[in-house]
Amino acid sequence: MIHYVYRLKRLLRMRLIFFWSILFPLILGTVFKVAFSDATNKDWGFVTIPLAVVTEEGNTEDEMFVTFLTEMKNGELPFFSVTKHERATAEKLLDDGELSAVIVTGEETKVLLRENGLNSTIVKTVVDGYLQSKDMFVEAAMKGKLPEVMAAFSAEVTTLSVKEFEGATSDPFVQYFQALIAMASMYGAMYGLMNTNELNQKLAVVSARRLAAPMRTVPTVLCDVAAAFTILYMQFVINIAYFILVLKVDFGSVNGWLFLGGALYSLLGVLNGYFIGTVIQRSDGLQNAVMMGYTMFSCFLAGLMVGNIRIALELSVPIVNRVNQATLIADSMQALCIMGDMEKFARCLIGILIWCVCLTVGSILVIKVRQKKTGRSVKEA
Amino acid sequence: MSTVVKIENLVKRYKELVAVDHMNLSIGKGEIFGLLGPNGSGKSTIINCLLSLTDYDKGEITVFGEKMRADNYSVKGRIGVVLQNVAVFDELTVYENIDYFCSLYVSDKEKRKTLVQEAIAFVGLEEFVKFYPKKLSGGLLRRLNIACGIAHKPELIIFDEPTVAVDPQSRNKILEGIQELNRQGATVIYTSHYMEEVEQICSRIAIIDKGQLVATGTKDELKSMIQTGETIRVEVPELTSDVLFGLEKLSHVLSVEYNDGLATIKCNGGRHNVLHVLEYLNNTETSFGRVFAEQPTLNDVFLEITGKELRDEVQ
Repeated sequence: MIHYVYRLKRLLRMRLIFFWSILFPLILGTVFKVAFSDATNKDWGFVTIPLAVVTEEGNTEDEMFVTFLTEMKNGELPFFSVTKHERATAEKLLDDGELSAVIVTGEETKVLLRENGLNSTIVKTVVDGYLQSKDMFVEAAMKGKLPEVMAAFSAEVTTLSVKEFEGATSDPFVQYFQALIAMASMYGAMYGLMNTNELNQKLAVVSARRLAAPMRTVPTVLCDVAAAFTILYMQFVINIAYFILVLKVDFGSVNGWLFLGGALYSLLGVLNGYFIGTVIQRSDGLQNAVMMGYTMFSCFLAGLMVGNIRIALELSVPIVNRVNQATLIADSMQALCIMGDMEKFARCLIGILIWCVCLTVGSILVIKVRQKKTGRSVKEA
Repeated sequence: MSTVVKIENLVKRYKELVAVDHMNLSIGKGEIFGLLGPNGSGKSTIINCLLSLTDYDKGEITVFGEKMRADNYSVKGRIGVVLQNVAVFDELTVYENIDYFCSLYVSDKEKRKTLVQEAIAFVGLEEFVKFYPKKLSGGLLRRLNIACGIAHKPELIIFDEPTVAVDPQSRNKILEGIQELNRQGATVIYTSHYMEEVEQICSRIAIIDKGQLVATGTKDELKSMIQTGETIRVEVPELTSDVLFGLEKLSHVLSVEYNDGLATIKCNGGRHNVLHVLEYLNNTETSFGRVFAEQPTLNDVFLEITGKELRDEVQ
């Protein structure tokens, strides 16, 4: 216990680490808020998607389809603003950014998209839905029930789209703050690194004094981890509170589960540091470089610098989003607070937990192997 | 006298370099045992092996009759370590540092409180208990370093060059403190490359060079191992070759060197050597100035055995 208390005292008194792990995310969050304030003041609610329908030569126009697209509504607002063009004109307008999508009807229906994103997802979802259930819509039209079917389908598309990607929240920049929380948690690796270095004679003078004492490694490491975790979790709560209460960032529905998630994020950060510290023993410069590099790259993949990168990865290499630590953190927050998707939230937490187990086992193995080596007295007979 | 530390046939290699070469040492209870040798001679490596801070290639180390291992916590609990570099936490105050390191040995809070207070009083840091290490002078830091190593009242205390870069006043305080700890019953291992310190406080000394034990014994035993006895230095403005030859022929004179007006005469025992030298100079009407006489030092021992100066090596 005393070991935990003193470790906690020390961590609280380390100004540099305090700055990077607590103040820096708050400052960066404030900068984000200021930078995005103009953008977030605009109406980021759903905007009608401009698209064109092109009927290929030799085919007759699918009037039912055009009606279907025109009638799709998100509340009172139409999903699509539909125009008809020749293919060349439509493609030019698409290239110029005047249109979000071009739907080419004929023998086969094709969808041309300007870029990946929420609008593209909605268009694809609607077109796929129509093509799969065309008979149902025709029958509904014949029975005069098309408006009801369309309303149900519109609601489904809205829900699916919101669940698919985060851009449909009231604050489109919340993903940056989620990534920031992920970054702050992963910077907890600094604490883990410091803990391991104080058991490494090559990097810390005090380690010799500690190792010469009758100090059992596992309880000591557990106390170190507990103290680092306490600080990091405190930092998580402070960050969340600051973003929501001071910066008024719309994190969606925040509940107790988020704080369970926060505990795992914090643990993951500390254990990252432990693993790096136990594997790289010779140079603290190299340790810090690896830790910073890995954290920043992981956060980059989670969308800290480029907002749509998670979507791009989801469409191209989804495995990256399943294993990347910062993405798991950001995704879990998004699943819980924005999508209300507890299944995805649990999936992300399990992913983080698996990481924690792997890092712990890896670190303990390395420590034990080194300890055994040190304790060996005779190498040769 | 029971044996506290026994090192048998210890070998430690760093790749091709043999840092400790078949070292044998035996340290008895109540001794202040000095490990003397130039930098890089293997003193700290021996200490690291002894504390199981590093592995070794061959040999056996026994402390308090038990084989020393990294997980031999009962033995470790009876040892205190004061390292060459100040090993304290910058974020903890003087009191907290001592309390923390003492807590690695003593879990009982009340007992620890008493021990910490005693350690603070022992090193004279009462006025600085709430100070952070960065606010302390070099000498005070050294005292804190010592307090952290001895607060739990160890039976065996290892001081690894504790006076490096310490001013003379603080150095004397440290040496007096070590002697006091010894008087209180602690066995002390003291490593240094300062022969004066080792001579001053150690009851037995091992001289080490290139990882090998050169000689071991009390300071008198060590000095008796060499031919050189008293060294006499006489300021002589002019010294003829006849007089120089005559000095060399005096009984008990080993060698005579004359450089820059200073004659250095080395004797091998005998009594009244100074008197004999001065009588001879008078008889030959050789004028002389100041006269200095020195008993052999550990440096002479080191020089005669290894063929090099201990002082030169340490610089």
